[in-house]
Amino acid sequence: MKRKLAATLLGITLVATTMLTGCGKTNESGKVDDGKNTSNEEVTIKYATYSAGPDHIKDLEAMIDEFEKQNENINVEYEVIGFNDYFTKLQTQATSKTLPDVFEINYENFVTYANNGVLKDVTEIAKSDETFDESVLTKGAIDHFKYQDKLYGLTEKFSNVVMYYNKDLFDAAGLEYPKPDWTWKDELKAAQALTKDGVYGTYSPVQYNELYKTVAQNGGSLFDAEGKPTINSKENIEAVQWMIDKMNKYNVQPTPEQMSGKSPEDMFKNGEIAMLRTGSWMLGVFADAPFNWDIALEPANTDKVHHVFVDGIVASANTKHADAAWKFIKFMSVDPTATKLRVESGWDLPVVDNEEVRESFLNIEKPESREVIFEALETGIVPPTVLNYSRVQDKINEELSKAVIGQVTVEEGLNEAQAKVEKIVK
Amino acid sequence: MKTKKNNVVVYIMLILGAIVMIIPFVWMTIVAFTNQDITYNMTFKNVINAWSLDNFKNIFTSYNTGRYLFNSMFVAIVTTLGQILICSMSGFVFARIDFKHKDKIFLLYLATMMIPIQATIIPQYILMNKMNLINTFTALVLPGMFSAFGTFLMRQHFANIPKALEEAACLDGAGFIRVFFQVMLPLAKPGISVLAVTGFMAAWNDFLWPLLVSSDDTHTTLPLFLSQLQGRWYVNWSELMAATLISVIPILIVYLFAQRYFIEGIQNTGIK
Repeated sequence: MKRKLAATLLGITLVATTMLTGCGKTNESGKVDDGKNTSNEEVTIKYATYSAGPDHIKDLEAMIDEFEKQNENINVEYEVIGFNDYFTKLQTQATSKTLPDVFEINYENFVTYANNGVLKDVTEIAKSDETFDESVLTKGAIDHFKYQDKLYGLTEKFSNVVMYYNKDLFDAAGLEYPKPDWTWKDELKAAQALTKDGVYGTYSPVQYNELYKTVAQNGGSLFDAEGKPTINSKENIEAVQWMIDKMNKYNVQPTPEQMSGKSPEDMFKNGEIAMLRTGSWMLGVFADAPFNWDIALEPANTDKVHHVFVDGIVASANTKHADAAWKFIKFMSVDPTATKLRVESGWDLPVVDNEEVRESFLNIEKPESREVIFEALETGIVPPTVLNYSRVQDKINEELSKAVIGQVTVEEGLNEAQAKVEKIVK
Repeated sequence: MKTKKNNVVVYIMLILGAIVMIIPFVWMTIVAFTNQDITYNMTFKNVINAWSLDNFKNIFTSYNTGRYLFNSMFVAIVTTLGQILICSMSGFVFARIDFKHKDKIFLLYLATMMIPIQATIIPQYILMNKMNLINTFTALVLPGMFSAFGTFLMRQHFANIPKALEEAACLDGAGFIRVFFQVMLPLAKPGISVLAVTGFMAAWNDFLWPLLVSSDDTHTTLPLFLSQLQGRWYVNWSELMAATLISVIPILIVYLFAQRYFIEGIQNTGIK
C-alpha cells in the first residue's frame, strides 16, 4: 500500500507542477496597463518582420525608437523571422488566430491572406486619419495592398531588378557598355565576346520570378487580364527558349552544373559573370567588389519590363489595437525620419515621392548610374496576383527545371505547366 | 596473406569515406575562421593569412548569440533530464508491473510514434496558446519530455535486466521506489545514455517547434538564429559558418562523453 501511495503522490506532484507553471503565466499582450497614470491607455503591439534580419535589426530598432517617441503610449515588440520560414510560422498563427498585431508581407502572398479574411480592413481608419495624405506615396503605390477595393495596409518599401555589369571585363574585351535601348540580340553579341577564360557573359536564373518578367519582355504574360493562365502562349515559349538557349545553345550563361553550387551573386563578385540580373538589394553587397561595375536597364525584346518587388505592412484581423496598428503602418511607410533612415542604411527604398529621398539615394557614390533604379520603376511590373501563389510557383518551377536539363522541350514543359496551373487556379 | 590484403582495402575505403564525410566540416571551420571569399582561393598560405576570430567577434556583438547559446543549452538539458526521468519511469512500469490493459496501452504508445509531427504540431500549438504558454521555456521544454520512443527504449532495457536482481533487492527489504532508483536505474545506464544522447540531439536540433513557439530574443534557440542569419536575398556565409560551428560544438562534446555508453548500449540491446 505504501509504495502505491508514494507512486501516486509522485505522479500527482509531477503533473501538478507542470500545470501550475503553465497556468501561472498571464497573457501580456493586449492588456491595458493599469499601473500607469497616463491619460491614454498604454498599448503594446507585436510586429513580425523578415526583412530586418540579419543586417538591419539596428535600423529597425532605431525606427521603432522614433515611433515610440512620437507615440508615447504605444510599445512595439518586434520579432525577426528568417524569410524562408516566415510564412510557415505565419500560417500556423493565422490558423490559430494568433497573428501578431502588425506584420510584414510581400506582394505575392498578400492576396492569399486578404482573401482568407485574416487581415484587418483599415479603409475606414485611413480615411478618418487627418494626418495621412495619400499623395505623398508614389503613383499607384496605395493600390498595392488593396484587395477588392478595401485597404489592408501600406507599402513599406520596394526593390527592383536591374542589370549589373562588370566594366573592367567590358573594357578588356573592347566592348561598349550596355545602353538603355539594348535588346536581347545586343546582349547576346556582347555576351559571346565576353565568354572566355572561365568568365561567362551573362546570367539570369530560369525560375518563376525571372519567368514572368522575361515573357513580359517578349510581349507575353503568364496570366491574362481575367486571371486565367496563359502559360503556353507563343510569346512565352519563345521567351523561355531564349532563357534556355543562352545556356545550352550559345553557352554564354553557366548551367547549374557549371555553377556547381555557387550563387550568381558570388560569381559576379568574383569576376566570373560579366552581366548579371539581380536586385537593388545587392548595391550594398557589391560595394567592395575589386573591380569597376555599374548598373543599366535590362535589355528586352519587344517591351522594356523590370521586376518590382514590394513589401508592405498589414494588420491582423484579430488585433485588439487597430488604431495603434494603423499608426505604425503609416509611420513605417511615409514618416520622414523612417524613410530617411531606410535610404541611408540601404534597406530598400520607400515609396514616397520625395525629392530629398531621391537626392540622398543618388548621392551615394557607387555605382554611377543610380538613377537606373528609379528609371526601372517606370517600366516595372509586380508579381502576378494569383491565389495559392506558392503552389503555382512550385508547379512552374518543376516544369522549368525539367526543360533546363533537357528532359522535356520548352513547349512540352509549358503545356504541362499550363495544365497543372489551370487545375490549381480553378 | 589474404586477410592482410583485405584489411588494407577495408581501411582505405574507410579512410576515403571518412574524408568525404569530414570535408564539409573542414570547409565550415575554415570559412568560420577566415571569410567566405576564401572559397575561391583556398591555398594554405591564404588560409593562414586570413585566419582571425573576427567572425566570432561579430556574431557575439551584432547578435544576441550568447543568449541563444544559453537558451539552446537550457532547453536541451532540461528536456533531456525530463525525458530520462519520465521515460525510464514509464519504461520500468511497462516492463515490470502488470496492470489491466497494459498491452493495449503500450500498443497505443507505439502507435503515436507513427503519426508525423506535421499532423500534430498545429493542434499542439493551439493547445499551448490556450494555456498561455506561447513564448515561454515551459512550452519549449514540455512536449519533448514525453517521448514514446524513449519509453519503448527504456522498456526494452528494463525487460532485459534479469528479474533475479530485482527480487534480490526486494528480499533485502527495499521498497518500490528504492528498487527503482537505486537498483534498476544504475543497471540501465547504457539505455539511459542512448536516450540522453538522442534526446539531447533532438532537442538541440529542433527547429520547427521553437520556430512556432518563441517570439523574442529571450526564447530563441540556435537553429532559429541560424535561419535568421540567412537573409532573403543573400547569405553572409562567414557569419553563418561561425554560428554553425558554435552550435555544433556542444553536441560534439556530449557525444564524446556518452560515446562509450552509447556503443555499449547498442551492443547490449543486440546481444540480449
